Amino acid sequence: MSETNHTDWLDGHDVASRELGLALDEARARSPDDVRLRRMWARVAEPDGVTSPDGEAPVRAPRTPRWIWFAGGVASSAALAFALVAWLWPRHQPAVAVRPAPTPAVETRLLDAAQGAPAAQGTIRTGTGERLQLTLVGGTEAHLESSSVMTVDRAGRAKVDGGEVAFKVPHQTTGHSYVVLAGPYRVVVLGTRFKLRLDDARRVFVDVQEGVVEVWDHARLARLSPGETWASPKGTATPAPTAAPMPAHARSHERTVAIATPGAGSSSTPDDVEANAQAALAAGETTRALGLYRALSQHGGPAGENAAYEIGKILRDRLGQPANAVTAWRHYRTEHPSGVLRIETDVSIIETLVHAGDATGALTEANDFIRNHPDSERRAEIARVAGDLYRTRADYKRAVAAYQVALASPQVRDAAEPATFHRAECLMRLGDPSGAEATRAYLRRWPSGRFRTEAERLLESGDDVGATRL
Amino acid sequence: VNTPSLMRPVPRGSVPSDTELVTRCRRGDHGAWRMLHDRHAPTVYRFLSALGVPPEEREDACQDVFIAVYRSLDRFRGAARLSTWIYRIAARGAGRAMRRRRMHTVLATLLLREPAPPPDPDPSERSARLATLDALLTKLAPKKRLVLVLFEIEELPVDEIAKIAGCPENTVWSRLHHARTELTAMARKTAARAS
Repeated sequence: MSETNHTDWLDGHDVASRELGLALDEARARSPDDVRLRRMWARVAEPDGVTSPDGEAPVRAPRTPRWIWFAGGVASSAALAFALVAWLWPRHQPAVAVRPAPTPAVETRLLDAAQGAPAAQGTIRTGTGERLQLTLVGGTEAHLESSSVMTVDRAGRAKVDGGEVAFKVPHQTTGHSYVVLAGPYRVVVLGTRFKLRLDDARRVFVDVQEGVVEVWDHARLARLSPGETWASPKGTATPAPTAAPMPAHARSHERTVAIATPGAGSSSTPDDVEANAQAALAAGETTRALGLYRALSQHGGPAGENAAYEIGKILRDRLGQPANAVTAWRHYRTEHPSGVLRIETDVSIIETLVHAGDATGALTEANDFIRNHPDSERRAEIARVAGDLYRTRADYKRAVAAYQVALASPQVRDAAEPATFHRAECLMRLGDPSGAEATRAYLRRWPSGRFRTEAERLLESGDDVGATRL
Repeated sequence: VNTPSLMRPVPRGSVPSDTELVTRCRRGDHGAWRMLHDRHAPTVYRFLSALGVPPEEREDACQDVFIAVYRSLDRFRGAARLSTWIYRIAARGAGRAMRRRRMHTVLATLLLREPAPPPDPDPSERSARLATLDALLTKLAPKKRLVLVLFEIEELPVDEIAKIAGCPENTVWSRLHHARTELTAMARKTAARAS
């Protein structure tokens, strides 16, 4: 092949070859115009570091040694790898992990403090010497001691699987309670501080520091006051939790089955159905949640009992059917006369009847409650509600009696101030001579109280009011 | 006679040779550097164009080549022609520019950025024929393309191409053969499709 004849390989008979030859000729003639050349020179003649300050003699710019680039690359890669490892390193070691830290570290992590938001779920473990503070749904604080295991389910409900966990539960609103699971037991609280511990033999211990706690399985086992301790009997050790979590695909399969056949014949456990119902509720699928709870309520047991109660809540809070809700709760009482949620059910019925304007029904329920639950923490609250209802109907005599029940209760708490004032007010309206003194006693105890102005006005016109009523 | 196409056909004696210019540049003669640039810049520009550097990057690529030339002048010992030496630097520069472009494309894809609008066409590429040739050259392997461009467009002798490509002369012939065959086949395919 000749070196000088560059187009021998193009035969020329072919159109494509002819075009290719012409294109190569054009490529050989391709050249930048003068403007472009001048621009290129301007860049080369005066680039940073290429020309001298006087612009005449080009000087050599110091060149960065290649090893600096290499070292920089290695350092960047190492930093990136370190950051990745630090980011991906597991935060919590298994309980068996030994940590050399001499001083227990306290770590604070917020799971989900938002009311009503879906709870963060999963198993939380603390290693040896590690302590952990969590805030659960509803503001409940959980303090995990060393080598403890706690599970939070999809509904944000805590279950202690090992070790020791101290809970600080904020006061629950009317009709609500906070439940912590420990083995086969349910620890029901309304607002208190207590510790739950599972020893190596899987026995459950409950220590109450503040408030009242009830321990339940199928029935109430204990009612604990501050300073009291309860331990599950020996020989009733609970099985250890399964170490390996259920695979996600298996869980989703079970969930599908439970949704498709929420009633009898489902292969899902009641806990799974309950979790599905809670998830449906959180997702706004009220009808499906109601169906799941209704199916679950047929099964009996703790889950069935809880479902029977939840039906009423859904009917009232989600579907706006207070009458049906009361019927559902009354059905619960029939099915579970000593149920763990009996008190909550009674309170919910009273609350619903009050809001529905059924004062007579509410008073009947409230009086039954006061009579049937002399030790209940909610007694003062319900007595105050009864007093308010009587006062609204101008039945001051019964109102005073109800307020006195509330004030006599050891758990009077928030009900104390309104019960004190309204009792005094009712006495004044009855023309009772002790009314003025009761009103002054209120002002002495709550000098800046909510009813201060009304109390002062009552005292000023006390005689007139009493005379009118008499 | 192998007349380097880099040299403009100017009368000898009126214009200094490449060797003289290099010597003067080493002494800091700015005028010599200007002369050297003007002499070789069109060729470098054409060469980079044929190697596939896109129009909007050609001036920058040319600048990079000449800065590299200037910085390396001390290491130029005259064993090869200056044009051969500049071609080698330009070939490396074109490779870097193409890699940089590929990297930008990948980053733009990863970052989901809108693709840059197409630049104004280079006046030297207004011929559809030339555009077709560039498109066909893009499909050749870089090593084959380099050899083909140096031989067919730059019209360099094989021994110089071997020095620039850093391979034996036989390899240059082999690559040239394959490049021509592939280019012809692609050109015929394109023509058939157009007709």
